[in-house]
Amino acid sequence: MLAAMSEQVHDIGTLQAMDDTAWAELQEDYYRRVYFYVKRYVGDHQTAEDLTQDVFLGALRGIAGFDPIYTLDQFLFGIAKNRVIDHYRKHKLTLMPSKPDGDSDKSQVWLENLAPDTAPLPKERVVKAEDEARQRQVLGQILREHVGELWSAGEFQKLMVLEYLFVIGGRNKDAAERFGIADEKAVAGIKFRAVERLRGMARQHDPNHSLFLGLWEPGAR
Amino acid sequence: MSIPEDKDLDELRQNELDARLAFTVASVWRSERISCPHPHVLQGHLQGSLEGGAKEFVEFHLNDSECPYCNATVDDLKARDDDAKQPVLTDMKDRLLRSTRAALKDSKS
Repeated sequence: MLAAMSEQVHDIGTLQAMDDTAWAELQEDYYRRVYFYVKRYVGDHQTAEDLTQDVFLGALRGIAGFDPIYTLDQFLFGIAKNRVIDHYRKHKLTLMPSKPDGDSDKSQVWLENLAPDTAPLPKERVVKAEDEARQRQVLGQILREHVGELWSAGEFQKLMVLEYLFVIGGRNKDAAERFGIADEKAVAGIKFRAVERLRGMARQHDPNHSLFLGLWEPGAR
Repeated sequence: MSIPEDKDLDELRQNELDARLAFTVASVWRSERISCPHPHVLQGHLQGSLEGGAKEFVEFHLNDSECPYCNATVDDLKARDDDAKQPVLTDMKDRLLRSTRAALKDSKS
């Protein structure tokens, strides 16, 4: 029930070979979602279309260096995110509130994590970046497993609390109020148990103690 | 200023670890779209077939978290049912294709 990735399979090698048909199929699969993603941030149709065009041109330029630890979905939407950020920087704009009442700009939190610079990295930084990429990959796997567990068990309130705390960066007190939970201690308990579960799963994925060093330091729970 | 005891240092270290973990969890959660429902679930939501906790979660994810990826999927699904939007999107698709084809041609020359 989770994971909003594209179901169509696109062959990276064929795209890297600059095959016209492969690119037309990729564009057919993604252009609407990329357009609506961009339009959510920029508002008007023409700007959104221009930026969507930039996304596919950027994908053409960047496909040779495609890193297989990412999905095509992440690759394309990563470019889209950077184009939106570039647009805001270029025009010195502040983020448009996505709700009519203008009292919320939570969509902004989704614009963090700029894609890494494409400039070549020195060797030691390459190793560090590879370690971090591996950590993120495993953490993503663990989180997906845990969220899948909650979804399958129908624990939607816990799932909402965790998303509220981690994704929106909400406070325990506000989460208690938002979700009708007794008090902020109960929210802290939900978070604590989730973090403990993630720690346990992380240890299972790190039998050589080489991936998540902090988990194995003295004093770590 | 007093020198922190070992217990305090452990606590500080643990707090730092927790903060780092929370930060990393947040960024991975967002970038990997950990809790994004499958498009079929979003389609079900639009058709009114979701109930209970799943419905509540999808509404929270779209409206409170304001997930731009899922909102884009929902906007796309809504547009597919909106005949007035079809010509605009079809024209855009043609322009995008022409632009991509031209860039592909340039890349080969």
